[in-house]
Amino acid sequence: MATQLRRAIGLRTVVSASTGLAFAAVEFLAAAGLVAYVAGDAAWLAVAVAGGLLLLVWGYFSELNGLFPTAAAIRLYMAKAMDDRAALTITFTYLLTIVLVVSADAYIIGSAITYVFDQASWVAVVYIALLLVTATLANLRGVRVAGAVQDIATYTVLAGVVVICVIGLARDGFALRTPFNPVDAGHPITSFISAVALAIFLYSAFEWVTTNAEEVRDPRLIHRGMLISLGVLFVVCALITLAMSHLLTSAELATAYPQLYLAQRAAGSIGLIAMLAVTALTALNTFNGAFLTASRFMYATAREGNLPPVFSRLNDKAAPWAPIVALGAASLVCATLVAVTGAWQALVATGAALESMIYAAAAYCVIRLRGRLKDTPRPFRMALAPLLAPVGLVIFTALAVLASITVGPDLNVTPLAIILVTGTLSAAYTLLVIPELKRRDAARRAARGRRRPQRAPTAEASQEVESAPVESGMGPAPGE
Amino acid sequence: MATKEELREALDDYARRAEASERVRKTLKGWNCLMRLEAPDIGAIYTLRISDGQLTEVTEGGEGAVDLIIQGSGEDLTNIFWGDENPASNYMQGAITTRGSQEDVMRLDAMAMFLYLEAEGK
Repeated sequence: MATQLRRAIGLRTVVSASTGLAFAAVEFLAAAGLVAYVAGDAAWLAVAVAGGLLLLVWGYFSELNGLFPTAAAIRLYMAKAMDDRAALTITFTYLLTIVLVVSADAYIIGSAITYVFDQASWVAVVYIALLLVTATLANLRGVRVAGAVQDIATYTVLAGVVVICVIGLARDGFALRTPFNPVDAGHPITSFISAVALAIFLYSAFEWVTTNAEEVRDPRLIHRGMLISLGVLFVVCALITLAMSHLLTSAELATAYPQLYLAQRAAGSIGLIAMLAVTALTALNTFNGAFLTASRFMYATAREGNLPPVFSRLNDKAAPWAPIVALGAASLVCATLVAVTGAWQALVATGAALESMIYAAAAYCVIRLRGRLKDTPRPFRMALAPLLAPVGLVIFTALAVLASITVGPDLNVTPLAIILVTGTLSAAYTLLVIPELKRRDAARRAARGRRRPQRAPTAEASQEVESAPVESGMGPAPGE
Repeated sequence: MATKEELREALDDYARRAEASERVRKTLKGWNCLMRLEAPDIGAIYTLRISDGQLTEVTEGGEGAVDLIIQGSGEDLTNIFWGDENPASNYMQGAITTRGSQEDVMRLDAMAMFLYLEAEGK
């Protein structure tokens, strides 16, 4: 019998982790943005179409996670499906999504607090700094949110949002206007397609739960949990768009805290305070998940020799302090920029474009690995992958392009510029800096020699050595 | 290919160096973990107990549930515990697999890194 784990994550926590990572505070802003793109109260249709597309993504990540049930899966499947340098470039660019989500959450919570306590908007920057410094310090001190706390936080957030939305819709007599007509004279079909691109962002990060693959009781729980999470996200986000389209004005939809107006309309000052608490609670999962995922990934990448050695240093709480500080600082700069410029829609669009890009990359990996690793056992095999993976590749590439040139309902290339600059820097780093890091590492290794005592080879071992394929790139030296 | 005895020798050397390391003691203080090391290609199973950051016990075989399971080829694991191969590289390339808390994985890797650095005199 296979060895069992003493402590392992069950389905409830897989669902809460997947849903909680996706359901950041920025969800409210993205949902409000959708309402503006679509006629009447039909924004839920964009959420549904995006949800349908996310079923493809669920298939890709379920298959890839089954192939590589590890926290390092993204590195593994990309490296095996494409050139390692391309894989590293995409992965480094993808890290920007994590910074964007953390920044957005900090900005939204900071703005929400200033609204509720009727403070000047610049005070939000102080709250943003406080939130991010607290999150950074907590991570440096090795504070972790336990699975049970994460479950409670996620399900409380979801229940709170559903209750407020239902109360809001009830106040309006559940009188839906044009729930099945997203297109009219003022809302062309292209706006609906843009809405779908934005709605992808509502589900984004649900797949981050695959980094917990080593901690689950049964590996199959990951794909089951992700599917349930998609269903939960669809219901909650569809309700939010319905309630917002009924209760909020265009001006309120365009603010950084539409959820507060919604709660205020639905349940007065009690609703307002409750929604502020719910908004703040989303940060628990977002900050915990994002900091942990990204800092561990950067640590492992540095240990592999692909980031400077400082990123693999640990403090006396065994926390990788440089990645944590770098993430905190990058998020603070990004959130402050957004607070000063008010350009949160560009942030959302950039996140949506990056997520679509990574989904297209996942589709590509499924296609390539069906050929390259065709005999490797797959605990989950995506149905109709030879058809659905290329279809998804085309759709998500198109949506990534669309999201990167659209901010709100307008044509705007800011997201594209952000992605291109980040991608170029990542590529330059991969092509110019990493080879030098590897060269130094190899020199250190050669100078150090091997510690393992050499044994006289047995006849059997000699035969194996002769017939073994020559492998390269298996760097023996740990990153400093 | 490494033998079971070579893997055991590597583990014993690793335990000795970890015990002697001030850095390991300080950084990994308070860490408790029961781990199982499996090298199916050479039929080797070892159970390692870490108490308060110290590798206190290495026993052959083992039954029951553990906090962390590490699986790899006997050759890779032997090289890793001698400090000749980078556990993080092996992990990132899928040569070794783990099951259990990522915190435990990272601390174990950190232990290997400290020992490597100390062997380099850093």
